[in-house]
Amino acid sequence: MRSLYLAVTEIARNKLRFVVVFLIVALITILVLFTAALGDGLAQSTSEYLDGLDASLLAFQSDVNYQIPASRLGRSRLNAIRRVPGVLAVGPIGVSSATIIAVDGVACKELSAALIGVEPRAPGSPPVLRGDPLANSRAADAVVDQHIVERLGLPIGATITLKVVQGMEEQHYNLRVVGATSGSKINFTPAIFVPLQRWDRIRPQEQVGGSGNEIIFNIVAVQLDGSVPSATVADEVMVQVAHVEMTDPVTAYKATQGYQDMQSTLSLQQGFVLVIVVLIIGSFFQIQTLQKVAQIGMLKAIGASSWTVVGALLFQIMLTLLVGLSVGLAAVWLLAQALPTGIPLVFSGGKIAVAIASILAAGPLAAMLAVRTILKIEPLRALGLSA
Amino acid sequence: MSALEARAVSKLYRAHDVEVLAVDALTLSVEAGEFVALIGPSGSGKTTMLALLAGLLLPDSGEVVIEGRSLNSLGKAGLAAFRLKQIGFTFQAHNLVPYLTVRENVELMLRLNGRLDRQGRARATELLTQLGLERRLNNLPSELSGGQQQRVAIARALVHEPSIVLADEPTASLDSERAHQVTAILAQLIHAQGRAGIMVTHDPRMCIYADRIVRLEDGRVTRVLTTREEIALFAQTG
Ligand SMILES: Nc1ncnc2c1ncn2[C@@H]1O[C@H](COP(=O)(O)OP(=O)(O)OP(=O)(O)O)[C@@H](O)[C@H]1O
Ligand SMILES: [Mg+2]
Repeated sequence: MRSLYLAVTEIARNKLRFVVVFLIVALITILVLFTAALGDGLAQSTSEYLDGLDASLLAFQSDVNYQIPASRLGRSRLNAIRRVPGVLAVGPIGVSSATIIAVDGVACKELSAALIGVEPRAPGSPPVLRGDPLANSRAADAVVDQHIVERLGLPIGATITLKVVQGMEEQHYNLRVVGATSGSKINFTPAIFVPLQRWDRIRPQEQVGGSGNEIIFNIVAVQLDGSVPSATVADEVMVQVAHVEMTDPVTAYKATQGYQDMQSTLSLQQGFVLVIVVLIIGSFFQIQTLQKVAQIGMLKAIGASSWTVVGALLFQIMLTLLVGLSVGLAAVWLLAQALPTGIPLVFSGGKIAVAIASILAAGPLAAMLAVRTILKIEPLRALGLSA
Repeated sequence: MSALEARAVSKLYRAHDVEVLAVDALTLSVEAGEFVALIGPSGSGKTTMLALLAGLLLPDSGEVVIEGRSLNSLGKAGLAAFRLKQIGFTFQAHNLVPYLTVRENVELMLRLNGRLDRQGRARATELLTQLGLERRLNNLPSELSGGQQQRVAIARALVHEPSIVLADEPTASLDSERAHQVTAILAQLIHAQGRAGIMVTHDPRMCIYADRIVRLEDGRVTRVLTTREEIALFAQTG
């Protein structure tokens, strides 16, 4: 308590000096939390659809490293997967992109979207928030992500016009919006879901109007009945069905081009920021300690233990971090309220806890240099002597 | 039993192959209520002696015994605890914690001792009043003169009721009037409270307040003055 007393009194009587460090910690907190939120936000934007999929396994063409655009599967393999024991249902998924250019025949601001072909009622088919799910496998119906609905102010029942390049030509297709869904982002873009047959006709391709014989899609969502462990089903599929590789949705989106690079860049950045915290706090308190050498020598000479002085230092560092963190958290909260929608920032409790814990953990690290200095100060110097 | 006894203590400094026998088999004892002035030329070992008496240095031979206990047997932590309880210290400079007020600086000694109670606070205020600082209680050290700072240090050196009070050149940075003031009150409090006091000084005039003058040369006691007449004469003529 002597330590706490010394720590708090010194801060109280040197407010300006400490306010500066509080602010530095607050700003660093904001930076760390935003980086974490950006990481989660970007992750969500690339993985939202796969992450929320109603399927435990995904089938890819083998040797494509789980890259969706590179994977090509057809009906025969879909059916073969369906027959593997433990499989409850399968759903084909085709992913491409399109641009919305008009609503109800009136040109709108062009908006790019993922165009996802699914089989109505099969795994992969999106749940709807409003309106109806896809039902007719041939209809020119679409279930559209809420982000698009909001951006374009789309009513259910509206007709949207897509622009797609097929062969050398730009083609326009009309779709009727039957329902709205959410959480469908893939590759940073929200999706438009259409029945697979329709998708095959309107997706960008070399010839106008579809592939003809067999519809080629990209991946298969596999639902299990739970009778067989998922790893066993995956192995069995790979044995029974040629050129198919099975994985779970999380592994799949983590393999998405750039996902790991992006996440590791952000982690690296956070790591650097934490190193900066350690260095700033460490040097601030080291400089303070060096300025107090005479005072500390005197305290030791009158009988204060080194631990009293070290304790005061640790209290000051922890208080600095706590105050800075609180201010930073409050600022982040306020900023988060004020953020416009559509910015890929996701504040998750877990990441915030980790960020706070790592900033606090920076304290003892930052203290090390100054602690060493304190321990080395001889009480003798109060008398102007050295040993 | 004396409050403080140095028994044939020696301290040898070694630096760059040069050995300096700073204190040479020095024997000294001080009674409770006695105020001793330690004088001598520069380099004669006065400060080293003070450090030995406080347990800040351990002697190469001999021992310092305080209240019947030899400091040689205490470890580093034991010595710190001993200083905290038994010793009141004033230094030439950097006596006070700059961010604590006058009152807080004095009370710090009680806090460190875990004795900051109502009586302790009252004693702190009383001491500061006796030292003429009753209107400076809430000032920071930077707002005080050098003499006032020394007086705060004296209050701190006495507030925890130590058996020994050690003062290293308390008047070095003061003008003669303030020096007299500070030394007189130090002597008076040491007498009144029955502490064993030792003051290192370069200023013979300050010896007038001492009960005994011990002169060191090359780490040895070369002269001891004990009678009022001798002391008064020394204080006048140096
Ligand atoms: N760390 C050290 N290493 C080597 N020699 C030292 C050391 N400290 C002090 N000395 C020497 O020991 C002797 C006694 O020093 P001390 O400081 O005790 O003298 P002093 O009587 O207090 O002198 P002053 O009146 O100048 O303060 C001196 O010769 C000094 O040079
Ligand atoms: Mg000296």
